[in-house]
Amino acid sequence: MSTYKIEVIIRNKKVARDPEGETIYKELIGRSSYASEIKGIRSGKWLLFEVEADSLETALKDVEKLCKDLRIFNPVVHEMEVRPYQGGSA
Amino acid sequence: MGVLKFPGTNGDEDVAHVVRLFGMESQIVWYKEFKQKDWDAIVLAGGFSYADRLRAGAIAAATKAMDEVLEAAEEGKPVLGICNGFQMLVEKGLMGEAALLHNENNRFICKWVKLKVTDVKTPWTLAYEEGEEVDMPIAHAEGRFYASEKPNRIAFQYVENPNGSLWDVAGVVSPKYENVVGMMPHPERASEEVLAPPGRGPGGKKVWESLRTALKSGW
Repeated sequence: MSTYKIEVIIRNKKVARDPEGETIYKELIGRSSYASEIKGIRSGKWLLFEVEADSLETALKDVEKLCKDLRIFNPVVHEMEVRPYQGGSA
Repeated sequence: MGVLKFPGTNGDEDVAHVVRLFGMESQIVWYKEFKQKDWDAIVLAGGFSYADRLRAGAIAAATKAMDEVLEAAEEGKPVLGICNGFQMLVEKGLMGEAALLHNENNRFICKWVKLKVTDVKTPWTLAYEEGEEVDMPIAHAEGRFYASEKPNRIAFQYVENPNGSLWDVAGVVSPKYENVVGMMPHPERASEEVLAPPGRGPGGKKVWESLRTALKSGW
C-alpha cells in the first residue's frame, strides 16, 4: 500500500453558467490591461485527497466513486475531473 | 410541528414563533435528537447549515436527521424546506434532478419580492388562490433553481426573477411526494403585518393557515 495524492476539480457545466468566473472575467480582467489577451476564465472547486491504495489506478477509482456516492458534486450541474496531483507539497 | 435545527440554522425561532401565532404547537429540535415520528409536520428552517461548506445544504443532507425527513415524506407528512431548508431537500434528492446554484449576479440578494402562487393543492399552499400574488422576502446567495426538465408542479414563481432561476421558480413541489414543498422565500418573515415594509403585505400568512387546515382536515 502506498499513499497517493489525487486532485478533484469540480466546475459548473456550461449550461449551468459560472457567475464567479464571469464576474472575475468581466469586472477584474476586463478592466485591466490583460483584457485583450484573456479570452475566458472558469471558476471551480479544487479538492486534494490523500488516498491509501495499492495502485494509482485504484486510488483514482476510489476517489471517483466516493465523489459520486457522497455527492461531492451534483451531476445535474457539475462536471468533475479526477487526476493524479502533480503539484508540490500540499 | 417540529422545526429542524442544524449548526448554522438561524430561521428556526422565527418559524416556531409564527407557527404558534397561527394556533399550532411547535418545537425546535436539534438535528441529533430529531425523530420524525414525534411530529405531524416538519419545517427545515433557513440559515447557513455547516457554513454552506461544499454547497449550501450539502452537508446537512448527509445527516441521519435528513433520513428521518425522507421517512416523513414517504409517510405523507407535510414537510416544508425554507431557503437553506430547500437547499437541503434538493441535496437530499427529494426535489428530483435539480440544483440551487449561485445567483446569476453572483451576489447575496436580500429583498422583498412579489410571488405568484401557482400550485394550491399542497398542505402548505391550499389557503391561497391559484395565481394569487403575494409578498415575501428572499435572502440567499445560492437560490438559482436549475433542473434538467421543467418541474411538473411549481408552487411559487417570481413575478420579477431576481436570481436567474429557470422558469422563475421560487418554490416547487417534490416530484415524488406531494406533501413536500421547498421554497427560497421566507414565509415566516412575512406573516405579521408589523414586519411588512411600506407597500408590502404579509404574504406568508397563508402558508401557516394552509398547514393548520391540512392538519385538521387533510388536503
